[in-house]
Amino acid sequence: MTAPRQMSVTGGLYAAKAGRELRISSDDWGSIDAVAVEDADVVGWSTLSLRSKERLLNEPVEPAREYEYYYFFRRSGDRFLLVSSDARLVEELLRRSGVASQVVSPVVDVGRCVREFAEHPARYAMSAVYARVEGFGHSLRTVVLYGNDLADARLFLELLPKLSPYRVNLRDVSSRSEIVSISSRGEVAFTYAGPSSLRDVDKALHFLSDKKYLHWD
Amino acid sequence: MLRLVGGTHFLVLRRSTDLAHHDVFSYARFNEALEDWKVGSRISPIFPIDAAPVPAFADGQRVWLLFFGPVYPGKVDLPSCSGIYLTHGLFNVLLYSTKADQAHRGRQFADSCGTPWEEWEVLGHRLVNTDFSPVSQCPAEIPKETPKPFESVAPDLLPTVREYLAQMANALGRASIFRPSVIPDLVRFDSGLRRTLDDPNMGSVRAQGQLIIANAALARHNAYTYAGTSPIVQTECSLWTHSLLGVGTASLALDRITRFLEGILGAARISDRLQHLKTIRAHSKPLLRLQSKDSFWEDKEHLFDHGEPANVAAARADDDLPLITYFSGSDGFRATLLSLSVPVEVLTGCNTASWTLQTLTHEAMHTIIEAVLGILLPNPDDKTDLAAVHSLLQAKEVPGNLYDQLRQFLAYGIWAMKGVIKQHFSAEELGDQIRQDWGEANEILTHVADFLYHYRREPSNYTRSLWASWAVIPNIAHRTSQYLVRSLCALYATNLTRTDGASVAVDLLVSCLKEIRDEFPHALYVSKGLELLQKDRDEYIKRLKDRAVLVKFVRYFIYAERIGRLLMSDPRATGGSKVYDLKPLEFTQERISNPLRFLEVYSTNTESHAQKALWMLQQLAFGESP
Repeated sequence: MTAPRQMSVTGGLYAAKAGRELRISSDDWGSIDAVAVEDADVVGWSTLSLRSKERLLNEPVEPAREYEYYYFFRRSGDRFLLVSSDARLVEELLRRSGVASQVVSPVVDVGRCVREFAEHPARYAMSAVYARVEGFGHSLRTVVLYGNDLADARLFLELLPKLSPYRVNLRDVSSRSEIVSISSRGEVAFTYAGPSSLRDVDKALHFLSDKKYLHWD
Repeated sequence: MLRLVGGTHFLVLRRSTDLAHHDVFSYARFNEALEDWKVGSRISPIFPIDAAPVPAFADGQRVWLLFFGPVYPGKVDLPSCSGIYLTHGLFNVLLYSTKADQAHRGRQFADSCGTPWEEWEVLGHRLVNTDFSPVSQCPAEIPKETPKPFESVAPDLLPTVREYLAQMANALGRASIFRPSVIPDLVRFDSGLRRTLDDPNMGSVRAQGQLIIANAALARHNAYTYAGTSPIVQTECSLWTHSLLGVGTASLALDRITRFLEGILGAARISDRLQHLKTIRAHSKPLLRLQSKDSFWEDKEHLFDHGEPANVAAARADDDLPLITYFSGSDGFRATLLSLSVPVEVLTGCNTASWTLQTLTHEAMHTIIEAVLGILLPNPDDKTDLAAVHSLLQAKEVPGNLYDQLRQFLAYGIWAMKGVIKQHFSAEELGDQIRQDWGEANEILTHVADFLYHYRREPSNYTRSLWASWAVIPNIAHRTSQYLVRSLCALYATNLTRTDGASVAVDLLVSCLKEIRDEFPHALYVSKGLELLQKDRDEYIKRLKDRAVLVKFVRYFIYAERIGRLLMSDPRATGGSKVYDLKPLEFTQERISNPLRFLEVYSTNTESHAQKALWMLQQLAFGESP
């Protein structure tokens, strides 16, 4: 398996639905037809590849070609993260594994996360905030703000009370690298650029979990 | 569309040994020109358009050289000629014709642009005839009695005053032919200088000092800008690699960037706005005790949100003194209250981070910061003023107004720089501290303001520009530690409210310096800086915390979003950070309007490139008004 050296990935955090026993390991993925599994050189992470004779996305049709799709998988107890280059591929793999109906994503309190990051900036800066705007009906529904450190901008702080954030992108202040994007429905996206990017995602998810922004119930 | 292709050629004018004639030569290489060097030879680089060959001069052959400008190269439309070249001079276009009708069309085109021209008819190598444009003989009008004589001058000052008047008259006279648009700037400079000299506290020694600075600046400005203008054979440039045609268009670029900065930073009247705080009640608590997230810091823009001062509302643009800009072989980037110098290396290297003209923003900011320090800090030699600020620092009560509170805050910031805080100290000790650390405080405040205003709080570009420009200054390794502290202070300005912000600033600088070291492996001081910062991390965090008040002072009292917006505004700006999509070396109809946004994009190379530097200087010189 030769995974790309760099790829933007998206997917989600998952756990077994209440009352179900489900612990998915990397070996479980390997038992699915046409799926290969490898360690990703970072503890807890695996790289998966799914080979398919039919295209699963809208890529150009090439007769006699086998399509190959890559995933990153990270397990933590009975929870896991699964990402690929397209959210549809994650859904497809969950479907093929038969666990799609048995898993649920956490609710992430992005609103509280953004407010606290703004009030007490720390090691992570917010580089994008997606937010609903309530109170203006359909005249104004959504805003997205981008920057290197939104909490450092007075305009953002002034707007924040009027916003209901639902997705935030986190950036490491010192290294200036984008780490991860997480939404209130547990969707996760990041750019894979080697093992260090997986370690950075690990740290950021731990940080968010320690701060109790992730609700699994 | 004109495109710079074909490298650099060299045009040489030589005086004949009997001093009666001049001969013209051209070379593909600089060293070839040196081999044939004679007393009285003058040389300038010429940059071919569309791979125009080295102009040919052959015995018995008649050719014409038409010099014209200043004109934006994108406007030049002369399809049928033997060669077009750009130059750094005010005659920034050179047209080489082997036929009389080509030369005629060239003259017609220059006339249609309304620019001066000079034409040389050359037979073999001999310059046999010179013709001048009508424009050159019809100078624009200079306001009457400018410069007018000073009413009363101390005898000791008389020679310096006369030199000033002659230099100013010369500058106005030359400008009236080649750059009429700068006449108002020169008139404003003259008025501003006179107001400065009229200050009753000035004294004759300081007045002479100011005049000497003005004279030196005007002399260099005139010498470099107007060298190579008509009659070219008589206007030699002392910058010898440009001795034939001068660097007038490059000088226009300096003027343009400086006027752009003055038009925004000067017009903001930061010093006047700070003085206005005398009318505003002080905060109920000492500013030093306010938490970093206290609403006092962020809820208001203290420069603007306390109402418009009366003197600001009544101020006119004419009240400002525009800086005289000039290239210098020795001064480097340097600002005084009257002048701004730029190293000649910019002519070939302004496409690089090392010689970027973005450094002008730092120098312009020094002028603002020095004015602010002048009003807020006590003069250490003025015992009354020193005692007043000393009592503000020692008092247990909060001062009556925000201005005094700010004086207290800033004076404490300087006092804290030495890192050992005594509860009780004398006014004399405070004066000594100000004398000792004024220069470093000035640098720190300037660095922070420059980072916030001109580098848009972007650490990579800022540190790269800073350290790459230091790397070309020899023998300053002993200052590496100071440079680290200045850089840290700038980066700390966006981390003031962050938990452990000083530590974050250190990590950020380490990460930026590593990138710079990888990109410029031979850059002086970068590796040493990185080593020091990693080895003495805790010491640098302490030094940074000792200067936190200075950083806060700039962030909350010198920086204002509305000034920042003006400095970066550009009608072409879209969502991304890249405003211009001009292709280097090409001249189209598109002109730049914000020199800072242009420099941000195009002065990022690691190696000097003479053609790209010329392209940039011409774009800057002929940009549109925003």
